[in-house]
Amino acid sequence: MNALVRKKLQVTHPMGFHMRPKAAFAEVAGQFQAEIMVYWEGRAFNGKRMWDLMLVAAAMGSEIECEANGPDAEQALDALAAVLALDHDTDS
Amino acid sequence: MRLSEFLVEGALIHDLKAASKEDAIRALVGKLVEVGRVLEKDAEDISRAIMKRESLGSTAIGGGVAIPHARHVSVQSLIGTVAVCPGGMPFESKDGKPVYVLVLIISPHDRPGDHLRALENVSSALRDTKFVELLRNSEEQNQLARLLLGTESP
Repeated sequence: MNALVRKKLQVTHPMGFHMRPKAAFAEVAGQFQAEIMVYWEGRAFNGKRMWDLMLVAAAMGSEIECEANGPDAEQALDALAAVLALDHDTDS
Repeated sequence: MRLSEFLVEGALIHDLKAASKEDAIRALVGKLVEVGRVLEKDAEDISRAIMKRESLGSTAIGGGVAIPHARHVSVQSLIGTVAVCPGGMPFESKDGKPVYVLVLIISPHDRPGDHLRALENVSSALRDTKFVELLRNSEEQNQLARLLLGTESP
């Protein structure tokens, strides 16, 4: 059964939502059937596309809103929250 | 950050020939030394920092584009340069395809916001495959500079 789930995720890394978490985000998002959208500063981005995520210049402390739509939406958002919570050390 | 705010015009390379990722990075950093934006004594350390970052995962993001970068204590503000490799070069891209355009970025340790905005603006320009094609076809350095720096909207 399809589900539409939205969750606000906080960027906690001092370097912000930098390139390695973006790559990890796109890779993890791509493992789910659900469509993944990211909303930031009033714009919408495809969470499975690195080129889209590169435009999300979210700094530490800011929030990005993630939406998953599909049979595994809940699991997808849990996995993506875990990606953002990971400490991708201090290199960008 | 707009491209013209951080790309060093004199350090753009329109015809890079590099055998490896490391060669390419050294060539770009060398160009920044040549125009006086990086001190020669820091060049090796900067190149190593960029290679270290590459070892964590290639910065080739598909579409023939890579954005090698690092933070380094020697720069006071974010700087960058671009090399076009007309023949393409291997860069361990996820899509397995060669890289034709490299955007090298060096940022200070304390300005993560500038770094994120620079990545955003580079990506905004280079996600356009036609623009990448134009860059690839630059026949001289001036042409590359005009494309990268001369056509931005304010």
